[in-house]
Amino acid sequence: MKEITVQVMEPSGIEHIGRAMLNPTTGVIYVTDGFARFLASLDVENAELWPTATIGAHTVPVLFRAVKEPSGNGLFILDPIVHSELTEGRCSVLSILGDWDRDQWQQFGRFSHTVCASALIGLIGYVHSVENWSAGKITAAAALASAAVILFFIGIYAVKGD
Amino acid sequence: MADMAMSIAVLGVTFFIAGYGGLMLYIKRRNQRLRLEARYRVFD
Repeated sequence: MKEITVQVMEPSGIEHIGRAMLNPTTGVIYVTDGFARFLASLDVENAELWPTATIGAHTVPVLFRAVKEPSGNGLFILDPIVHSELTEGRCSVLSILGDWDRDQWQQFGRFSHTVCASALIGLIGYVHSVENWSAGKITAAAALASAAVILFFIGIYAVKGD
Repeated sequence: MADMAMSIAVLGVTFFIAGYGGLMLYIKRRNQRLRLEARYRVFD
């Protein structure tokens, strides 16, 4: 069992938040009795409510599905695709390598701009140090200039941070 | 020869950074699409 947070948003934007337990193998989510009674008063079957669960750093959609078990009554179930990603570990690998948040994109943008500045400074130094220009030296200077331009635009895109 | 090696190294690093950023962008878009699809399945 894993402790998670469940959010239920109404069309008006009001959000109800409660602690819950997730069974990672079955994907069933058990909420507290009080929260379950409160959600029952919202008419979960007919109202257009959007329930989500926050598991670690991920907020994923869940489905309303009453599950009766000897150990307790579950009210939600994880979406099958999300559940398969969680159980197969793909989600955790992606959270390390990919699926950057806003700050990580900003840092990547700053890193790109730092390397861009290095390429530009290197280009200036290189151009002023070359005495006899040849095709190879022109190519090297052009590579530095290209790197500076490409990294500048990568940084501009990434630093938006969204 | 050294100039050529320098050019290849500079462009290699540049395209590595660009490719890594592109891969992260692809994963971000893919996750957004999966979440959107899952959200609509909630109302099915």
